[in-house]
Amino acid sequence: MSITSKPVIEFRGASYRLPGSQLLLDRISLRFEPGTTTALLGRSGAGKTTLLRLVNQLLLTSDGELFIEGKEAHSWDRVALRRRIGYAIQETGLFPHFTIARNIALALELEGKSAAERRPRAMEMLKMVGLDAQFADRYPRELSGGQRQRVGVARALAASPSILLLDEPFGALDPLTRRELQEMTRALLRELNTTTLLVTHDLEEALYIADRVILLDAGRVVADTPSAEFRKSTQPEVREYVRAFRHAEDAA
Amino acid sequence: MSGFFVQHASEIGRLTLEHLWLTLSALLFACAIAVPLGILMTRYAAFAQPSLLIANTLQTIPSLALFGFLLPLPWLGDRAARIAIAALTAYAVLPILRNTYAGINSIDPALQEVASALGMTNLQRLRKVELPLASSFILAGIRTATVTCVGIATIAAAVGAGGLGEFIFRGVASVDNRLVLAGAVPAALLALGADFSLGLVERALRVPGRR
Repeated sequence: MSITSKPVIEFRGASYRLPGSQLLLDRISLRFEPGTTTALLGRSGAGKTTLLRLVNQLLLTSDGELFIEGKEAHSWDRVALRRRIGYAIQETGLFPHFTIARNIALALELEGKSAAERRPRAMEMLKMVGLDAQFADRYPRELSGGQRQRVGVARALAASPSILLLDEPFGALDPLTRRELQEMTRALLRELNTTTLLVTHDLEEALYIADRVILLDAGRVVADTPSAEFRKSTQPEVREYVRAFRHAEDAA
Repeated sequence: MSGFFVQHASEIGRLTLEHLWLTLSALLFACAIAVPLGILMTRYAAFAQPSLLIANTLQTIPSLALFGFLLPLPWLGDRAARIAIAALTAYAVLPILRNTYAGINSIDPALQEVASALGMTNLQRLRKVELPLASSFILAGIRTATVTCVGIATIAAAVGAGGLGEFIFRGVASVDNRLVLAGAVPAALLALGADFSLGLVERALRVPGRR
């Protein structure tokens, strides 16, 4: 990654404050280069999800600047911007009244693409996330949690977005299914040239999928390292986080 | 008794149709008012409480009094049917309004968020997500409104708007229970029939797995 490459997302001293004046993100400055995958770690309330929501403008920065693909976030047409950004969250994100195929190709439908274009893309995406073609015409409730999550990833990627936001996408899954999905996602992200932000509570998952790990605490960036160096960091905040995680592992 | 019904069959038919016409017109107006208003209430929270308060208050006016209040109004008071339809509309608004509002507001916020995050415009979100997911709620409101209206429409005869209430008022005046029943039985059947068939539609619209 050359230093001169233009970032896809760039925060410059960006803050987010709740209307009640509570500061959720405090002067964040971060650059996300094209094609990279970054994991956002931190305890609940650290600002991870808030940071994602600033990117797709579900929330608006209160202070500082945020550039997306070189353009000030506020000056983007919000709908147009969101259509360039894939988004997947825990289980609940699929529309219960749409078939799997329609859920997957929704971004294309919103863009006014014809059914003749949407269907093959939905089938292609199903295959990409390792689901059988027979799932296309089923409804989300007929799928298992792991299958639904695959559909969620397929939907996020269907419109070939340049940015992908994953908010604890595998949080509600059993460990085996979770592992499978992590492997699939890692492989997909390596293949596609998407700039990805992954919010997770799982250190293993972060280190496995992402090339870079950012640790947030109380709305600030406390660590920002390549994945390979995270565990070696001597920073007290990082050591504390790693220790807490190891503690859970040891107990198990 | 059955001979009486046969004898009055054509009149019963005519008044039933009149009754239906009053009810359906009122429901149409009520939907045209309550559904958009209910949607607006989900968009502007400040709007919700006052709207519900007004609709609630309308609901508490005794129906006979409401017919009477409308009588002296210009244009509306010119024709009995107009008064009847206006009054019935006032009663039908509340259940539809309440259910439209609740139906949309109770959609899982995560789905609302995903709809926006995927780049739906406001209109797309309404058409593709909110209305389909709220449709069975809205229909339940229409169902309640229909049953209420079929009942209240019998009072429309008091201002000369016709409908099955005519039999009832005539029967009460002449102390003839057969006449009362000639109005009451078809009205009850209408209400039951509407309740049952709209119940089927409501069930068909329900989205399984909706939270």
